[in-house]
Amino acid sequence: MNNQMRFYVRKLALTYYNFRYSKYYPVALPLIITSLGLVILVLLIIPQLKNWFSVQEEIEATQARINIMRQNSRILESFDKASVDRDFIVATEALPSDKNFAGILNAISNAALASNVSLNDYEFSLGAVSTSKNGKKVSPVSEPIAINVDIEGNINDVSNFIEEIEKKIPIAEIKNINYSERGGEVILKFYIKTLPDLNIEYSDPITSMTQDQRSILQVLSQWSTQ
Amino acid sequence: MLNEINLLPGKTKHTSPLLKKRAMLHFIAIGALFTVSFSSIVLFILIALSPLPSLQQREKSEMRRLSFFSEMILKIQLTKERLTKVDNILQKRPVYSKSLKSIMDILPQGSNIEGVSLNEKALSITITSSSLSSLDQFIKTITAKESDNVNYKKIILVSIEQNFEKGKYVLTLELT
Repeated sequence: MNNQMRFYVRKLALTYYNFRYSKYYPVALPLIITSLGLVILVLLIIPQLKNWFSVQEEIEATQARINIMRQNSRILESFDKASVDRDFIVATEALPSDKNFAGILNAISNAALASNVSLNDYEFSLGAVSTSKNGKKVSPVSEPIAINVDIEGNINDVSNFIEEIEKKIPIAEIKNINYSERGGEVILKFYIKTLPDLNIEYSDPITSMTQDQRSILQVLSQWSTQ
Repeated sequence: MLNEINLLPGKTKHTSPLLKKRAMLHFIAIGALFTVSFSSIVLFILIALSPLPSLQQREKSEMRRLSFFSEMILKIQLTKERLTKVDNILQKRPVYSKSLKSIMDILPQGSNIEGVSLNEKALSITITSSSLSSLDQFIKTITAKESDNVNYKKIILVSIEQNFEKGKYVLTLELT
């Protein structure tokens, strides 16, 4: 150790003993300990507490999701798969996701047959069959299909035809009726609804159909068999 | 020797108030440090031993179990979505068959419907009859039924004509 080094060591020792026997020494140690405690509190305890609360929240949320999923499993196991398939078919036939021309023509022909009117000319207003967005082909727009139907028959038959159309699926709305003497024109509007982008969230509660939904489904099932 | 006249410093007693305060300060500081450190360790252990990882595993296993039903879930969701829209349409769409039937039901004997024009706003109907009394009866009946009719609030008598060739009276009414 050279002289300079020795000098600094001694100076340091002198500074220490000066401090050791000064009036500040007695409060210095508690002050350092308290500061250390504060540092631990700020750097460790507070983040740990926050973490603890978030963990508790996550535990509660996860537990709730698990409970819902178990409930969903029980409900789904109680459903009859064939019945769900049947309901789905009826609902999509009633309100198709695309332009179901065969279904529409079938409904019109069956209504005409049941009401004893003769069909003359059809005129379909197709609208967009396919559209593209940002260069990507997307499903046909859900604009209703308008159809002009020329019919022949007396007023009773025409009235029956309208009633039949109102009780057929796909769901149609009669926009206009023009009848004179032994024939007329009926403008029909068949509804379409494109499939929404559904994301399955297993933790969303699955419920059985409401009474209203059941009754609509029952009506639609009756209409589909007519 | 009396203590009062002893000039030699006696044995130092650590009982002065200043020393007591100092000891108390040390005790508080060390106690606080210990409490803080102990709390930190306890919190660390509590977080480390939390049931969250096992719950997340259970959640994943439930999701795997439900994934077997994904097709069924989609069908249920789509069915409900369709039914909501269908209900909406059925509630909004006009039921023209009822309007026509209600007119035909009150048609007097010997009268015929020659023409009908029906849309969202109005129902225009042309009736022929060989007698004016039948047409009069029809007007009276339809006027009496006006209050029952929720779709149409006003009845306009557009025209009454006499067709000499056919020997018939022609009545045109508009219900709006």
